[in-house]
Amino acid sequence: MAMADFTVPASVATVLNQISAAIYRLHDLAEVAEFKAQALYLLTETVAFDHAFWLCCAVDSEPEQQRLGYDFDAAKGVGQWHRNGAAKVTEHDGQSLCDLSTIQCGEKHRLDFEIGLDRAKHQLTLLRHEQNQPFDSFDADVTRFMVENMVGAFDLLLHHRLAHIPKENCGRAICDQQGRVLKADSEFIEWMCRQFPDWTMAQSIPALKQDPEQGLGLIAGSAQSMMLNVAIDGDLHQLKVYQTKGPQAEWDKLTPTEFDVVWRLSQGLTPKQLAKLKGLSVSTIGNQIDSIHKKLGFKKNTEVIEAFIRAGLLDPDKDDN
Amino acid sequence: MDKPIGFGYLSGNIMVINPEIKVLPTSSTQLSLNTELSEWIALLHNQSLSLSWTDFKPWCFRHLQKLCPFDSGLWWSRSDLADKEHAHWAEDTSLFNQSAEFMQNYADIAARPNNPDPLNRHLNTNPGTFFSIWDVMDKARWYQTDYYKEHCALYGIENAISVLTLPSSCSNVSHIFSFYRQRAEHEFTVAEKSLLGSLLPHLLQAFSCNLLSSLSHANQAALSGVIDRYGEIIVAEEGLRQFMLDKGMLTGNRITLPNLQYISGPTKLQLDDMALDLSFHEGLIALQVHQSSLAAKLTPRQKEICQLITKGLSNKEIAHLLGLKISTINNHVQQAFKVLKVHTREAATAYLVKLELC
Repeated sequence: MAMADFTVPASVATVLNQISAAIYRLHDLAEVAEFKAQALYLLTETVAFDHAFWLCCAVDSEPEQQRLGYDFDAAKGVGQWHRNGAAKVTEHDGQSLCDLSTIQCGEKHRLDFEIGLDRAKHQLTLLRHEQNQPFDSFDADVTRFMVENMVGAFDLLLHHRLAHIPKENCGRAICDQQGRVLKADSEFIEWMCRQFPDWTMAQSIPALKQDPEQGLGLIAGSAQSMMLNVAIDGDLHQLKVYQTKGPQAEWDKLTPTEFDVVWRLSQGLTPKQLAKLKGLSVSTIGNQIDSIHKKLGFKKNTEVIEAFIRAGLLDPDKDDN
Repeated sequence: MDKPIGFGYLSGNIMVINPEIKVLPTSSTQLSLNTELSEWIALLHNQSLSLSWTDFKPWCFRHLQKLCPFDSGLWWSRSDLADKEHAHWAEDTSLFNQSAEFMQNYADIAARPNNPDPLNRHLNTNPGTFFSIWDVMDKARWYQTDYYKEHCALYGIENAISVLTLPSSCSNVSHIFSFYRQRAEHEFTVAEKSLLGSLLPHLLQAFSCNLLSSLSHANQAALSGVIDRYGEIIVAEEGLRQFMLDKGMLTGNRITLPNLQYISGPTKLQLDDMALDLSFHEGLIALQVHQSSLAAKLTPRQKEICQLITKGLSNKEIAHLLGLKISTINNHVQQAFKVLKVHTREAATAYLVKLELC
């Protein structure tokens, strides 16, 4: 729909840039809803529409029936979060009548955009009443440029948010409703990779569960020695990950010999093999292992090994920091 | 009444496209608004949040070169004081590919009676528009001017364009941008001037954003702003003006603070119940109003609820305890968080506990 060589007179370009710069100025607003409402209000200065639906998720998010999106009424200049319209918006065939449940019927002209930036994917739908003119290619081109700027401004908002989540020995991230990362700091990524070696950015954050009652919305969970903390703002989930036990301090209790024993066990050696390797009796190794269990509060070797690997101590070069 | 909105207007609840508004001037230069330009803009804003105050302008020059090649440039900004005499107290000049004495030489020439810079007069009368030397005089005359012989020829400038921007809603700063080319045959085209001109709003917004984020070290628990030596607000976070107005410390655009002229390093000020942090940067002063003063703005009810939040109670439990509806509590909490500029319960707790307010 959008033409790569869309040109406008310089005066129009200046106006569009003035409005898009004003949208960028909104990035430090306290609430996502406020940002979206004001950005869409500014959009009405460049293209006329009656309703807009704005949905944001991570690029690798799965399609979902009930997704929270922002539903904006241009005539009233107000909007609200809405759960039900998303599926209909994403499934549309380009021709069908729109029957978003909150919007009164009779609206059928629509303009759809799907624009990604970094890890965020935005879907924006503009609607016009039936009795109004359909959107034309000029509208589409102007709106595409504006939406690209709105998406850029949203990225700035995420950036600003991430910097403003208080940092007290924690990793910070902002996720979508499915728990997929939109933006995260390096500490967060490092932490998650250490705790969950199989985790990739394309997956939901492990240890977060979806709230069964609300259907959506994430609840914090804890796993091993980390704790997740979630604050919800509209469709964004701001996460903090803390260490509940300092693994470093814990492992520091071990003597170098004991540490070496754990390291070798984690490499897959049995106590017997280890005794042979070190030229010690099996019972000496057994005593050392007992001492390790006592110091760390574990009962089984598997627990020790699991914790050791999760703490990233097996391969210290990999995440040495 | 019909309310015009952009290229259309609203009649009652029905939006009508106004065909007349949509007829666009065809004679003017056409600019391309493609995705690459959007990406260029997005990167500009993104960097404005990450780069330091000193790195931002040089980066902008390199970024601008991707759109319009030039050999050297100048970006001059100053706070626009009512008191023009002291304007240079808060100014910042960034030179790109020019030596430091370039500015001194320019200042010496500009100080002569009848400022010989031919662009100077046009910039002041036509803010927001890029002018090239050739817009204001022909080549034969240009090569005869003192300005060319004693300045431009010295620094290899054959073609120059400049623009002046006035303070806007996004910042109380005026800027002059100049871009130079060394080779006489490489004139700046109308399209290049229009493109750079159309991007000024983004450059200015990014400048303000950079100023605020780099000088005031984004602290979510404080209201930040940047002022000049006279207390004139250059950029301020939403809420700072209102806060200062409530305190009776704002007159027009100026914040009244004692001994502002004598501040040279990081300074802490305690005024009544308000803690202020000031730091000085090349004529600009970054200002932070701290949480303790924000917390003082809480109503007794909000404070009571905040105290319960710090004890780890949920909104439901608070509602039960105080015999109020959950929705009332939700409202109070939202209002309180807005006042404190926090987004989460832990953030509120952390700050209130730290300040021993709860």
